[in-house]
Amino acid sequence: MPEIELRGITKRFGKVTAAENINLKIRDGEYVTVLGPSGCGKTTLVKILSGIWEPTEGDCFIDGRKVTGIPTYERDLGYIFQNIALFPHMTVWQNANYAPIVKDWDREEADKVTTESLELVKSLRRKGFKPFELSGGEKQKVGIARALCAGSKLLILDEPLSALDARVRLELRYEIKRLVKERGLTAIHVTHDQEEAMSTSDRIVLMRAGRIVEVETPENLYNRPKNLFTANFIGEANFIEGSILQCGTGEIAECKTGPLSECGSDECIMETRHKHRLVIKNPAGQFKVGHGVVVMVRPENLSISHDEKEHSLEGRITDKIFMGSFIRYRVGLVTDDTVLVEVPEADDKIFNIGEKVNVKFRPKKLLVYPQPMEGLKEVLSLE
Amino acid sequence: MPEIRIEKLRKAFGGLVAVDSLDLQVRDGEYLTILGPTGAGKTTLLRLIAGLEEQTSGSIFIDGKCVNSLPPEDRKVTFLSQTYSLFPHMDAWQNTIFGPTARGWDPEKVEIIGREMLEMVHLYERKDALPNELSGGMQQRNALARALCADAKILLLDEPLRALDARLRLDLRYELKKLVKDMGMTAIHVTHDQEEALTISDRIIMLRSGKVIQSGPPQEIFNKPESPFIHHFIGEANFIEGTITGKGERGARLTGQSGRTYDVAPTELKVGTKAVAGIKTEFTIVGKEPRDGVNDFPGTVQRKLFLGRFTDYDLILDNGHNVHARLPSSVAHKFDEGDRVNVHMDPERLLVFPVPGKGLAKELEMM
Repeated sequence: MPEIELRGITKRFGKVTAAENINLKIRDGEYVTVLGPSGCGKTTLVKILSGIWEPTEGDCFIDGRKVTGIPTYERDLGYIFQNIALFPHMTVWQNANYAPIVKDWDREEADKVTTESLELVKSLRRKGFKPFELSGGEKQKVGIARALCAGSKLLILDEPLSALDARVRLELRYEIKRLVKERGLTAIHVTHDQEEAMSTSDRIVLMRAGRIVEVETPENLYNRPKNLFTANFIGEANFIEGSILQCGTGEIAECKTGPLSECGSDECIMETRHKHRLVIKNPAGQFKVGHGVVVMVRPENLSISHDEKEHSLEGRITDKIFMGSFIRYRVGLVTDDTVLVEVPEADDKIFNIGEKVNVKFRPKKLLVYPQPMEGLKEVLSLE
Repeated sequence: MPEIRIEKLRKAFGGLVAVDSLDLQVRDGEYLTILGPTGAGKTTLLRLIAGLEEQTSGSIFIDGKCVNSLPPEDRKVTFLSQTYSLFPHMDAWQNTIFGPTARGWDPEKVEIIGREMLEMVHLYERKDALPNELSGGMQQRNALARALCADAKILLLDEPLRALDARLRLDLRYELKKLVKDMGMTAIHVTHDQEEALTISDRIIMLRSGKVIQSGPPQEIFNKPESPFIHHFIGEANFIEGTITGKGERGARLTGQSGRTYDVAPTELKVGTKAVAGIKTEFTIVGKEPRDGVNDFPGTVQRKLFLGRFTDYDLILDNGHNVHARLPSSVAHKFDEGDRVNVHMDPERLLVFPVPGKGLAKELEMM
């Protein structure tokens, strides 16, 4: 029953801090992804958990047992990394069958597990091949099968699919998840691919610059990100900066972008760059007049039109991209912000580059954050 | 006027034919993407144009001039590989001006062009940094600046964004295209990422087994794929095998192997012919109630995968057919695993193809 806990983990390499004060609990049977831009410390984290590196400070616990100082091979975990080295002189079958044989399992059981694992990665038909006869993707699949055969209850996957083709990656990630769930394993999967993380995980640990930014379900990370970095890193996001002009009902000061709808009691009016205005929600009364704020809105939650004035900002279309089932417009707004707007391809109104349009910001589709002290650009930066 | 014309180009490595008597024309200023699965011959084609491989037969013309026997440096092309190959001991500035300096250009001119290019890729502030001090995205931009400094008008890009973080890739895609267009260059960009191809290209050529199987603007490749393989490669499609059993003015009718009938898009195929019909997962609509009785099928949700903007569904229809659907997440939250639903397939989106020579399964294989 592998349950994982990291307590106060810090790792320093000379002056560089790769991980700083990481606290994390992973439940038994959970599929957790560690996601973040390159250099964020995600690989450091799993190398420490697996015992390849020792932490500078802090401890790891597996099933309540402190494993700090215990070597990797005594931690009973399977480790799958980006480029698995297969034994070059052994066939696919022998490679996969290696751990069960070494562990002296019952022969029948060993063969059954090996067959199952190779079948899972669709490599059984190549069981007689040697590694040099396989493509990169095939080698990786055999590597995954070999790790699965070892029978550990804790699986660490360090960018297991990065070296593979898009399609193969897609297939394999579903299969790995299915297998983990079916066998009741606990999996910690490191990736820089947000879609991979979204589609496989029960929860995602989002990291940046050696720290954990947020630990959440994929839905919450996408729909209700707790901070601006998350919003930008998971999916596409538009940001508009401004400050609160008015809270609640009351007389609305003259407005540059045409008539605003009444500002409700749980709403605020925000002033953007060049003195344009947007209505935002303020249910908890979190924002007060004068506060600096940043509005985040997903491209699919904006709409464009020629005549819709309410909750809208004017702009000009600078780019139009066909994306299959939807069209992505890039619009330069009067506020000097550039936003992406995505509308279904089937929508009858097609707008052209250079056209003047109104972009509608429905208050309930906007997420509002306090203006970060270090500046928006700094907060969104991937490093 | 850097226009590229390729005639009957063929490249064989021993018995393996990587590029198979391929014809292609690239217009001046065009942003062309070569899209296809691994092993389709994409990179080989690019290397042939660059002069890094020698063709077995056929010809390549640049600006109307045959370059078959010209070495890479005389082809007015610049090749940007996946790995960037920056000189590790040189800083961003030295890497950028390497070409012009080596060619013995006037130092003043080198200074100007080097600065211009680094500024264009937003890297001038980091000009003193060594490659290992730069992030992947910055290295990529550095390599791009170096490539642009070479003053070639044709840019050959081999999966230039592959090694980058997903987030960075989205931003750089846009910048890359803008740069190429602003500088009036012609670009040939190899990728296996269909979304990248849709976003960045003026035109896409689909390559498979060394041959061009379709060429056209992104919208055309997406909406009017010429084979089930392309239909499935750009996006993803659900397929039904059957026989054409009726034809009308606005479409045709296909009877599946189970005996069920489907209204499908217009086709040239005659009544009685065996055919394959396919619809993209984005247009496979999941709802609570039947739409209008045409192509409405009851089924059950088997698996739901949240991807952010979209949610993917695996469904099993009551007729035993497995289908996939990709819905905007804003509507997808209404359905859960185990729910009874209706699956609707818009006849116009249910495209008809002749049965592929080696069968449908073989046709859809990625290799």
